[in-house]
Amino acid sequence: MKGRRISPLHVIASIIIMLILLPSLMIVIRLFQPVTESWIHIKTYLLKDYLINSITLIFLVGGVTCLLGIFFAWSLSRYKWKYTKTLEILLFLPMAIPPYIGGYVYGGIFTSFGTLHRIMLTLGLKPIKIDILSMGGAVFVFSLFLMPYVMLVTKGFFNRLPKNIEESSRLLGKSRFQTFYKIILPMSRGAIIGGVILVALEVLNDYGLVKYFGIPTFSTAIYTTWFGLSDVDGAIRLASSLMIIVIIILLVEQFFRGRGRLSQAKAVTDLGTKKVAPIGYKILFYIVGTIYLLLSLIIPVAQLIHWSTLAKDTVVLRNLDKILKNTLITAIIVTIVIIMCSIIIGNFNRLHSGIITKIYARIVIVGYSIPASIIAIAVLVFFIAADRSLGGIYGFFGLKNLFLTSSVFMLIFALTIRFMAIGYNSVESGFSKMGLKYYEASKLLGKGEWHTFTKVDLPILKPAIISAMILTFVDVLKELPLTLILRPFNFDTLATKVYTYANDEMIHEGSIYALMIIGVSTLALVFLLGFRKEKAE
Amino acid sequence: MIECKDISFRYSNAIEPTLNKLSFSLHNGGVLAVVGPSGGGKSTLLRVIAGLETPYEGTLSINNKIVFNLNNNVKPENRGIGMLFQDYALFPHMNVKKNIEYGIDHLPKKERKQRLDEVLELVALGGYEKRYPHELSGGQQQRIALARALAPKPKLLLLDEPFSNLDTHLLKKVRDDLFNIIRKTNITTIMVTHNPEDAKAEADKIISIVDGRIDREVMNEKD
Repeated sequence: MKGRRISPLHVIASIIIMLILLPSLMIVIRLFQPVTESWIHIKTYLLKDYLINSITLIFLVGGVTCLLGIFFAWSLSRYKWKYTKTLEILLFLPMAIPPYIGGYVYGGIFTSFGTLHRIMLTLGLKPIKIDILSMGGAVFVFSLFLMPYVMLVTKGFFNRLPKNIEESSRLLGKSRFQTFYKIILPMSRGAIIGGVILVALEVLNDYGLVKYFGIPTFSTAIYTTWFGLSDVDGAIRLASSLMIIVIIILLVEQFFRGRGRLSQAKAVTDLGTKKVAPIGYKILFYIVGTIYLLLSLIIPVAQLIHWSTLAKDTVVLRNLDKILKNTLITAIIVTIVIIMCSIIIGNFNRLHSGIITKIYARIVIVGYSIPASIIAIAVLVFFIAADRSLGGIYGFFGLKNLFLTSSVFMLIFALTIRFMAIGYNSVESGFSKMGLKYYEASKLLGKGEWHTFTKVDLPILKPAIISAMILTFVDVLKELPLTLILRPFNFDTLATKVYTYANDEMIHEGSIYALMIIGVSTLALVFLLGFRKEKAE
Repeated sequence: MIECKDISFRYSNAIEPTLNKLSFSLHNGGVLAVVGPSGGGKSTLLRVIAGLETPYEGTLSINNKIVFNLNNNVKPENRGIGMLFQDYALFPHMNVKKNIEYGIDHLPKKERKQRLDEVLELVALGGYEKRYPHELSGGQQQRIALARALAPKPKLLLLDEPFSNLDTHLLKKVRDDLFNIIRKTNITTIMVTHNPEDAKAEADKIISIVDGRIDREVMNEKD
């Protein structure tokens, strides 16, 4: 099967990989150009703030989500609760609310004459003033809506931990808490760090929340340098400084993963039944859980519903159909492209082994660790260069000058790079579970590549493909920073509409669009959870 | 002396009790083998004795001290019981020294070191302190797990299917080695096994559990 001739599959896979890689390479090349004056200004006066703010956010949000995520993951994987399944879904759902929407909601609640102010007045109390538009506020909002990332990863690991490890620690004279602290935590270090890294990458990726809260970070700086100062090179240099942080983060993960390999939890035969929690723990869980769900789910959704009823007379829904169409079509196209690329590269990697496939597998997923602001810059630079070199052809066909740059094609391309990992990981795990045996059996029964692929591989892969589609679709739907920077003139999606309204102090009007994003994401996530459970059973 | 009286236990998702009014006793330094078909409740009995599961009736005492009745339930960490798990349950992120010292970290450093050396010598694995569990063979892992269980000087040692992971040709040697160590320490031992040969070779007393009840109880004349 592993012939020396280069197959069409090889060629197509290589083209896809080149397209993913090219924009980043162009950024690297631009770095070697002479330093501009405004970059010296940024470096002297501003870079330190961006760095301190970004790192403070990562550490504080990472810390809080880590504590909460471990607590919920441990509670759900070790103890029995009434309505465990519902609880699991509820604690997972805040993921459907993008942090920027959470930020707008809490901004609106805590602002002068906001919801809190009015409630206090109604109750005859003196209004308290909480400055939510601050570093503390941003940490609060990020932590609420990013916690599920840590919970999901950690819970999966806890579920696979052999139970007798805990039991032998108890029998060696250690209490529950000591066992957790000395055995469980060190063993789960790799998984916990993995979850926190996801949170850190999401924080670095965010643009909407830090912009609204007025916290200068790399993503807002890149945006301002590019559009405010029109300084492309400055923006590129900022992007590469940010990339260094990302690389450090990924190296940290590699380091812990490498050492954690020793402690990989094995598949467990004896999971044991879950126990009833001690009464003190039960009370703690219910208190923390209730507060968390109130803050991350009930209050934000209730507030958005309330605002949208207030705005129902004023809000201009004239363009709603167009906005919905833009959002859905973008999401659908990106999803289809990603699934197709994932299948092509996944299949290529399954059929060929060697260093090239390993490199390809790494490149495909690299986009997810690169913050949107960097991808945006890279893709923009790449498309402008492409447009310049295609100028002659445009002239021949009578097309306008910056044809590609001003089309939605650029946005779709960037979204594809950014979210390729989401689709690819799911499809790839489907391929690796399936192995080569069905493929080889089909070939030995005299069927060709295409027949084998459509009649044997695809049907077996279907569950993995459906998971991949849902996850990708939801992520594209919620996406803000890339869409904001790369959308064509007059092209709005639900997310950009929420952003525009919120920044124009018209959050009531924006709330309807926010609710739509949350509604669709929730439906998709609940469906996915049900679908996965069904598949597992 | 271990005394188990009318112990009954039911898993929360089961209708029938897994252990049904089980009673037996074992003198100090004795070896009891628990045999019977799988699913009969052998391993559950060990877990109940260890305090990892809580029965709904009965009394359990170790050296005349009640560790369980309906008014009193001593936590597993305070029962002074050592257990050798079927797949050893060595902590993968700790080396041999750390694993063994885990249960005796309340001792002063000097005593701790002394005890570590004692048990390592007992299991004939002196010099293996720095190794990690994955760097040991299956038989060595088992001996380290035994050393770890014995280090805190438990009153009772529980063995859960100690030889089920071994090849047949190794079995006799490993079994002899293990019980030589146990005999040297003179520790009271309860072993669960599905293999009647193990029971006949090593136990002073054999009970057979079927459907949660004691089906047979015999004193054993060792081979």
